[in-house]
Amino acid sequence: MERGGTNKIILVVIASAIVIVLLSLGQYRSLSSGLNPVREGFYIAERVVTAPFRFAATLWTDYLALVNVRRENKELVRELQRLRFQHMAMQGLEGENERLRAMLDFKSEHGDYQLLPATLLAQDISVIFRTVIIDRGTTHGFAVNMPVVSPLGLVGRVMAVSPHTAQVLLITDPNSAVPAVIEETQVKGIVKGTGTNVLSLEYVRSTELVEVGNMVVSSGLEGRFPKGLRIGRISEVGKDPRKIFVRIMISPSVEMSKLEGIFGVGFRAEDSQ
Amino acid sequence: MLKTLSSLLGITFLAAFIETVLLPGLWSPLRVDLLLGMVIGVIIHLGFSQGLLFVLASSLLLQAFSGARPGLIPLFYLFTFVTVDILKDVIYLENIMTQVILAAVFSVIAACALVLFMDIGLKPEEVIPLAVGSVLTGCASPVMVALVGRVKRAYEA
Repeated sequence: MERGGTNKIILVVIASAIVIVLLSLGQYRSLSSGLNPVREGFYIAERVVTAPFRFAATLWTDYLALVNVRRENKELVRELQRLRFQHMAMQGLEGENERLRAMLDFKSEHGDYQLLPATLLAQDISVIFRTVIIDRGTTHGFAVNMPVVSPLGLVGRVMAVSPHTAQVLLITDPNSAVPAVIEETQVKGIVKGTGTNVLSLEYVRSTELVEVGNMVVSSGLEGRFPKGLRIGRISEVGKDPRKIFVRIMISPSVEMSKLEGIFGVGFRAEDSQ
Repeated sequence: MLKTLSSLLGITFLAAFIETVLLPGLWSPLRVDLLLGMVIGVIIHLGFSQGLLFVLASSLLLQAFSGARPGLIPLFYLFTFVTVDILKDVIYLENIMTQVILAAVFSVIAACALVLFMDIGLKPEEVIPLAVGSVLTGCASPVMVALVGRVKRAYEA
């Protein structure tokens, strides 16, 4: 009994040591890539399990029910999403000459960026951490830190990638931070995830002009996200004269619980640096 | 031992599929923790060392489906495993109601710890799926415990 108890303690100490090492290395988020084989295995299993259902669904929708119309419709929907995204990028750069120049810069800098379509494969096991796994990876052109968008706005960025899957950190995740600007007033700040369905815009001084309903877009300052991507509208402004910064809450443009028609934004090699 | 562990890891993989694909497909914010029931199951049916090995391996496997800091998920399941192992001398783990309550309580502890640790201000409507998830975690735990027992018996025979 005594010996058994000692063994248990030794085992728990060893297991704790493993966990502590993992936690101490946890600041290197690239460690998540070490779990790529698991996600790859999951991708294969998911494909195998859902193959009969997908086959039956495809047989019915693409051949029996609507032979050509369905396919044509899919292409049109995809084209519409692509156009909506382009429209959004253009809208964020309309207006004054300076902003028109910025639009020209944007087009010249990212004129040939690729939109890589992807589909949602799985969601995070915890509702607090907001990550999703998509069915596209390095073989389809996805890479770590690649921005992910939907026709409605910014979704997040790729945090780990394997040959056929990618883990996307949504902008609502508490670990997410996106340099942003209020479209109407050009006030800059950092949009942070809260782990809930709202975002917070931080580091905006109390003296700045901020109103409910203002649109917040990516500023492109860090170079990770293209400029002018819609993030959301300001839903709440809490000014406290004793504080330097104002408390701003944002309602995201993209409803993260219904992610459809998402794209990875592929940069040219020189842009990604 | 190897056969039992690999079978249990296979079940964990299936559980991850249910947790991350099927259930969020029904209701997006709903999360049901099926591994908690398996942790209770390995304490009842397997030895401490085998159970500990399974808990570490399966929680690392689940880490692949989360944006949590690496190590955080194994830490939680290790804590659960050790606590339940201590509790087994005090409470009757084989009782179905005990399993339901234990799993639900640990699910609530995990959610509360994350909310406090990450400093998240949940709205009332966001608490509902968490509460439903905890109740369903509790309800699923006897099934998972039975599944572990069945795997154990299959290889013993």
